[in-house]
Amino acid sequence: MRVVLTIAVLLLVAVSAAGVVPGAEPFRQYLPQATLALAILVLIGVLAQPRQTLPAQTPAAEPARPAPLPPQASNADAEIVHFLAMLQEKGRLVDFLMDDINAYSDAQVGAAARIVHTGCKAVLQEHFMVTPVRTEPEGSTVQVPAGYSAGEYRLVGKIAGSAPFSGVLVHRGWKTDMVKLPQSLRNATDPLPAIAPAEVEVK
Amino acid sequence: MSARFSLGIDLGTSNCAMALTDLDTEQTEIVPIPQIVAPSQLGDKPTLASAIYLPHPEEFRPGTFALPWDDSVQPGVVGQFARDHGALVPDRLVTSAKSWLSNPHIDPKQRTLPWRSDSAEEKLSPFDCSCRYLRHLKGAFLQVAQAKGRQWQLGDGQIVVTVPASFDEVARSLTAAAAEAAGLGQVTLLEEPQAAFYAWAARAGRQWRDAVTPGDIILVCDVGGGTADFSLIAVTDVAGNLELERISVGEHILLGGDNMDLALAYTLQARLEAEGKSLDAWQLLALGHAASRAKITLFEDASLAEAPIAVPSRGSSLFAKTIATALDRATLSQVILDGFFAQTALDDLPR
Repeated sequence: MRVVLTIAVLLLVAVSAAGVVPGAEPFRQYLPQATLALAILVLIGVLAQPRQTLPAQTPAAEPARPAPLPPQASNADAEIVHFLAMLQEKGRLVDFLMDDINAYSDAQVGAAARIVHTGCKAVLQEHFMVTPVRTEPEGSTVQVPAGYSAGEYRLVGKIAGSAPFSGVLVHRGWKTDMVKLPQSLRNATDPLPAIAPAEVEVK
Repeated sequence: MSARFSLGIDLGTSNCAMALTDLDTEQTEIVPIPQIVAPSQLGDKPTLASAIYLPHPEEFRPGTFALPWDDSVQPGVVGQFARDHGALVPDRLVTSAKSWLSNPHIDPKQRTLPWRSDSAEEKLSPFDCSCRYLRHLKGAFLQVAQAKGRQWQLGDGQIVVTVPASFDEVARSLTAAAAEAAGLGQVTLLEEPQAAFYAWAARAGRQWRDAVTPGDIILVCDVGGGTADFSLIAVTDVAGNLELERISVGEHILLGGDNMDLALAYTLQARLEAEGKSLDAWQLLALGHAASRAKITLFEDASLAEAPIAVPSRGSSLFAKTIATALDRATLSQVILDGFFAQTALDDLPR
């Protein structure tokens, strides 16, 4: 549109000049009509200009598109990592599991196991109420009652007929009636907590 | 308007606790206290560690220690995390602020804590610290009450704060002022040995009046983590009613269970060094904690001759660097029983 308008204005200048410049006499008879036509064309062009849309202007330094954000870690993920961090902090569990167990004697592994046992047990007792599913001694004959909770029993061997089933208690099972974990206060954009932060002694 | 609840606050040197009686239902319970247990983690504990950690501005992300019930910006963090992390950075940790309230050598409203610290950018006064603990307890209590659906205001109940019997008038009025500054209003102060006696009487039920007779003198022993207090309560007969009067209180002794654990740790450390194994300062602390657990194991089970102790390594290789030893009963008796609770004659005096 700008181009068309510019050409029309230039032609108008040329036609007007033809009225002044000597040697253009033969064209002078067309002067008034040509001038009028060109002027109307320019007027229409000016009035018909569409509103300046933003892309026509230079945008004021639109920020470069940022690199895609890392996937947001959910609060549930953060709480699980925090639980692992507690087992590491109190019981050194991750150190225990990440170390090479084959290179050491039973005595060394045993001493380390005591630390893991004490610490992790404290975490377990604080956040769960761990009780056995069955209180009878392992190896004794027990009855799995009718209407038993399927998640609490794993039946092995020969399963036929219907409950109640009679069998030997191979493992007493563990269950928890309570889960009491700390509440996470982090924001959605915070990174996952570390399982164990690197420790630097500053002097 | 009659009170709807009664809240008892034990503002302790090492730990604070709260007990709540709902006067409508007459049920008493210990109030679990939510506190920061790890960065951005809020957990409930039965006690609030009386510790404030003042972090370096770059140590943690901003907002890591924001409590859900308190929008105001308070310096540092209070509670379990403060104590745990402060053990690693002791220069920025404030503990035992309560003991300074009765100290005649300093002004409790002057910003002196952490004591002799070079690192802390902003220091706190002992009064500020007591106020901070009470403020946290108030916020925690209201939060827990609301979560249980109780529409209580602080004015609906009576609040009792315990103080040591050895606290002088200055320390007692500072405690009351701290409670008011924390927003608890006018609280009733109760001496700790008397509170302990009332708890014993409540547990004994009606029979407590049969267990004591006028003329009896009752010794109340309060051996805590960092302090020990001994008080005498006399039982008298006033117009046919049994009355209790706290007649005597010993000096506020700055020794407690933590000192016993440290004494065990030093003894075991000397033994390990004689075997050629050396421990750094952090491992000594860990040895103290392990010795504490071994001490409890041996006292609870008289049939055990010794309890094993393992001191973890500081680095990630647990198997290679863990140090193993054991606490035997002879060492336990010698260090704890003879060292801290020595048998004396009735008329012996401190030398």
